[in-house]
Amino acid sequence: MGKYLDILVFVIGGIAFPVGVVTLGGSLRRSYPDPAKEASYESGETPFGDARIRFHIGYYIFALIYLVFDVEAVFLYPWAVQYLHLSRGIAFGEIVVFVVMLLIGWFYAWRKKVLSWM
Amino acid sequence: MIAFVIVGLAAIAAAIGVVTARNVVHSVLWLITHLASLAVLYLTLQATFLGLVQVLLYAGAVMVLFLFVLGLLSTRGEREEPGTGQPKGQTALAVTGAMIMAALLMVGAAAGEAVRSGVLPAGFGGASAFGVALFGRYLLPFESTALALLIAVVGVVALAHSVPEEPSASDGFDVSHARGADSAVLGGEAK
Amino acid sequence: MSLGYVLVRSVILVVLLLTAFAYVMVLERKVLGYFQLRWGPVRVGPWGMLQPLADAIKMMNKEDTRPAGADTLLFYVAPAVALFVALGAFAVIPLGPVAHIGSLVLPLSVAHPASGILFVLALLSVGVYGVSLGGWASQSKYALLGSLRATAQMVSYELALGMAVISAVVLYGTLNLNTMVSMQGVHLWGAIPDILGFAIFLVGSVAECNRAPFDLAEAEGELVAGFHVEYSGFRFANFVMAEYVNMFTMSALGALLFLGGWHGPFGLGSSVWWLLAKMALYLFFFMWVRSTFPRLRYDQLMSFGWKLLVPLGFLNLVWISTFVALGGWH
Repeated sequence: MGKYLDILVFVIGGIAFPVGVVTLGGSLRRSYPDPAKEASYESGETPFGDARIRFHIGYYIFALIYLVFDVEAVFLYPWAVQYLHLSRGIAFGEIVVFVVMLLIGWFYAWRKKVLSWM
Repeated sequence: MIAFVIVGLAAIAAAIGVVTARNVVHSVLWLITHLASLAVLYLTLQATFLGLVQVLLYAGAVMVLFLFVLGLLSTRGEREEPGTGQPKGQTALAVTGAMIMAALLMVGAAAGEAVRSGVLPAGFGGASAFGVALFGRYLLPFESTALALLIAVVGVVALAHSVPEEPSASDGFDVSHARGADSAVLGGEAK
Repeated sequence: MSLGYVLVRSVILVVLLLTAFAYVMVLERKVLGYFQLRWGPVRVGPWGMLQPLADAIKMMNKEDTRPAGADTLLFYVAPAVALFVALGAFAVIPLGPVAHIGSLVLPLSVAHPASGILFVLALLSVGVYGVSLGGWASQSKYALLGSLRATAQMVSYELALGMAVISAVVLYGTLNLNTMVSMQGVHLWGAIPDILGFAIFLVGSVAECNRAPFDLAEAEGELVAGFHVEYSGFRFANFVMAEYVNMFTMSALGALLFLGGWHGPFGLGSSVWWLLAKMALYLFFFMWVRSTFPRLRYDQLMSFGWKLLVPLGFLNLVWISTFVALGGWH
């Protein structure tokens, strides 16, 4: 736990620097607020409408597939660490069953064109 | 022990933030904070692997999904639809829940201390110990996880195909929509 | 290990990192300049070497603007999140073997948890939020599109990157970065059996840092600057800083996992300088790639990640576990 506390100290120190500079800079420079400055940049056009549109569903689909495979990858870590120490033939067999099942899923998703950007 | 209580209180505070935030994306930010605090709690309890995986999966992957879902359901500004305002007593409920949680946390901390005074096996909570358990005693549950994940993939495919297929190179951004037309822009629906 | 000791070490490392950030940026502009048959920055100081100082002063004096409809909380939090995560990941990178100065034993990293590599990956997976929340909060169409693309891209390539890392873990049987490096000192370097894993890691790390040719998040031709288009002054600098710290982390990881870490080639001893040299080479690779390849189209990007890198990662895993099962290096 102490190790992670060290990391926290480091990160807070690292953050404090830029935040300090932003604050310091704020007291040095002048600020002239202006509606034109606060308009979002759209290559010179006058911005219209709300920018927070509905997202394309493709992003959602990819996030879902990613989640499934990420869970799978997490299971691979303890296996990878233990691989040298477990009985290798059995460990290999165990993981092959696991991975092959997921590869079937991956292949199915590919054939159904889910992995292609719509 | 002190770290456990501080982080536990932070987790509770973040959880209150999730419930009381007026903006859904703020809620997501609070939820990320909450999940990260839980990960730190695991770390204080020596469950290193679990703590890191908690960040990797929940804070890293599941919350990205949440953001996309919110975007899909349209998260326009703070505009409230009639009837979806804050239900009465929400804050009171959140505070009560938080107090119960805090009480449980104290009990948990005490219990954790009791466990700590006992002897943990060497390498407890590490990926290595996890591997031994997973590929020995819990092999069957582990392999059935693969099956569950396979079902999840099939579910994704089914979900993806409920959307009309229409090739478009766009990011889903539709000018007519931005002009204020309230048509949905899910895939090709608006066309 | 008193708090003061940790504090001093942290301050030293932060100062070193910021200096490295400033000069790698100038060097990048130089390198890109030479690739394009021009000089790069030459005006400020000899050989343009005072450029970062001028940039810093300029950034400090920039007005801190915020678009009218922006979400105040998220707009201000996002750059901090990006930097926080980048620094946190770098904190566990060991830069060399334990140094002995007199009787003082000095580990060359802020912390060295047993599951170092997993810690880095966990933090990198959270790094997405700096980009996605920043873009969403800006209330700008360019920013939103940039951040959406970046988020989906980063999660996709994280998977490929993870597969490459797992292959290395199989090879060494540990999650500890120090142990991995010392094993490479005894045996061959990781990249020799795991060349495919190294290649996947190389591509994945470029995509993970949102660098060209995978810089669709910024795509200046179409999105102006992508997710940070509405940021100015030092908040913008925070994003750039986070990007460069991530590059340092990736280059260090590449060297530690696959290129023997701080061990020299052909048994030429071991020192911090070897690792720094390898990191410099890796960073040069980042710049080289940037000046050579055109940007990918978005559907190409997703196909490349999901249909090529992920299956290759699986294939490589099969090869590496067979290699280890057959006795590996022993």
